[in-house]
Amino acid sequence: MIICNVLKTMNIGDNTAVIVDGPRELFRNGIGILDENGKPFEVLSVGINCVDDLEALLDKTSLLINGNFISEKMYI
Amino acid sequence: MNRKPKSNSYVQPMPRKQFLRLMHEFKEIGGKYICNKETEEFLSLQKAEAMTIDGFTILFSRRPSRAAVYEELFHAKQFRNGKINGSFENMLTCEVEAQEYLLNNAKLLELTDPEIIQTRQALEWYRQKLTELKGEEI
Repeated sequence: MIICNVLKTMNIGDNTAVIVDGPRELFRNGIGILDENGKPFEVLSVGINCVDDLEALLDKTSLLINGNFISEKMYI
Repeated sequence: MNRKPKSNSYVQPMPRKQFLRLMHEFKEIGGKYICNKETEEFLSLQKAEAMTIDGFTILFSRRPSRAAVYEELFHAKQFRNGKINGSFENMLTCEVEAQEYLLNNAKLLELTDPEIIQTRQALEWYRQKLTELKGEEI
């Protein structure tokens, strides 16, 4: 199990946009993740960014998580 | 009084009227965009100008460029067409397609020279990453 730090969250309707410090390769749409209390969530989608610094894409990842995700850690 | 010359890499924001017209069209197909101080702070963590969350949701910084707006609308369409599965390889493929779309339509989309240069650089970077991942020439 891989642990990522949650860097930022933002409510999008009933769901939560999250930026984690996990590498981009870890994620894809539909995977399951856990918060720091072991509660399961689903990655609804992995965000696609228009960035000024392309290397910044590699070590941080934006995700849309179902529901209200409040956690400092994410377990994959 | 002098005006400080802009650097050659300065990218003009999309005119506000044009941005609102495009967002109105996006909303008409069920789309939603968020463009405020909160999204700017969120995006700044990844040094991003904009982000497509899914086929109907786009986050924008407060003054996105033409290239950023058209690119994210293109990505939203890719989502709706089922082209995006979120994997890293898939993301690179979709980004290559998006950059090619911008360059092939640069005149129509009225992209500025700095935007065209940045898009070419981005295309090269995505192609290189895809080649490294696949281990073959594309």
